[in-house]
Amino acid sequence: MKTFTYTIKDENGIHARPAGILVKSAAKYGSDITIEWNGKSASAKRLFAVMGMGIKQGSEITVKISGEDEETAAAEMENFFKENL
Amino acid sequence: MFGLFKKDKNAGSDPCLLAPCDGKAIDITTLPDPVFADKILGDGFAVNPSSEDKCDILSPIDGRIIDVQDSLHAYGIETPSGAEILVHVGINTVSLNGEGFKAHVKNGDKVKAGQPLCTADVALIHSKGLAASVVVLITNADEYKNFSIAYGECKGGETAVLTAEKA
Repeated sequence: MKTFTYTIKDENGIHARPAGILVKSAAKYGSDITIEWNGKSASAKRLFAVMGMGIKQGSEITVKISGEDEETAAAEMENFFKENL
Repeated sequence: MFGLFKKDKNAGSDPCLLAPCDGKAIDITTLPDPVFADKILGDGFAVNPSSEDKCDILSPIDGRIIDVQDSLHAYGIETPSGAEILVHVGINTVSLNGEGFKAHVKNGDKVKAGQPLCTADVALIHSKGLAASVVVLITNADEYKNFSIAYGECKGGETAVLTAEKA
C-alpha cells in the first residue's frame, strides 16, 4: 500500500467539479484508492462518497492506494491533487 | 466497466427523470462549464428555469438523499435501483457559499419525485453574473444506455425529460 497526505488549497474544497475530475482520474487505476479525513473514509472512485466528505480548504487528507498499479497510481494521484486541488 | 458484474436486486426499474422546475430543457454539452459539457460528472440534461425570482427545485425521481453540499447548491439522490443522480443548481454557484439557496432536505431523507429539494433565488444567481441552469445528471452513467432526452419546454415535477435503460 502507498500513502500520501495532501492539504487542500482550492478555496471551495472538494466540491462537485474537482470531485468529478478526481473520480474520473481515480477510475483509471485498478488499485483501490481511499481518501481519509476527519475520521471518515471514502472511495475516490465514488462521486457522492467523495463529495459527501465535505472536505474544505486547509483540510489535510490522507490518500491510500492499494493494488497492482499502486506505484503509478500513487505518483499520478499525488500530482493530480497538486494540480487541481 | 464493472457494471456487468454488479448484482442489482432492483434491476429492471429504469430511471425516468422529471424536470426539476418549469423552463426549457437544454443539451448539457452547450453549458459554459467543461465539467458538465464534457460529461465528467455524468450524463443528463439541464433546465434553464423560466422563473426570474425564487424557484423551487424539485427532485427528479424517487430516492434517498445521499449528499447535500454545504453550499446548498448540489444534491445527490440514490434511487432504489441504484442510479445516482446529481441535481446541481446553477453554474459555479459553489462560489455563493449558500447565499440564494434554502435547502428543504438533509442527508438520509427519502424524497419523492416532484418534492422540493431547495429553493433557489434565480434573480440573485443572475445578479452575480452566474447561469442558473439546473443540471440533472446520472453520475453512474456508465451503468446505463439508450438515453432519451426530451429537449424544450418542460414543467417542473411533471415533464419526464430523461429516460435510460440499465446497461
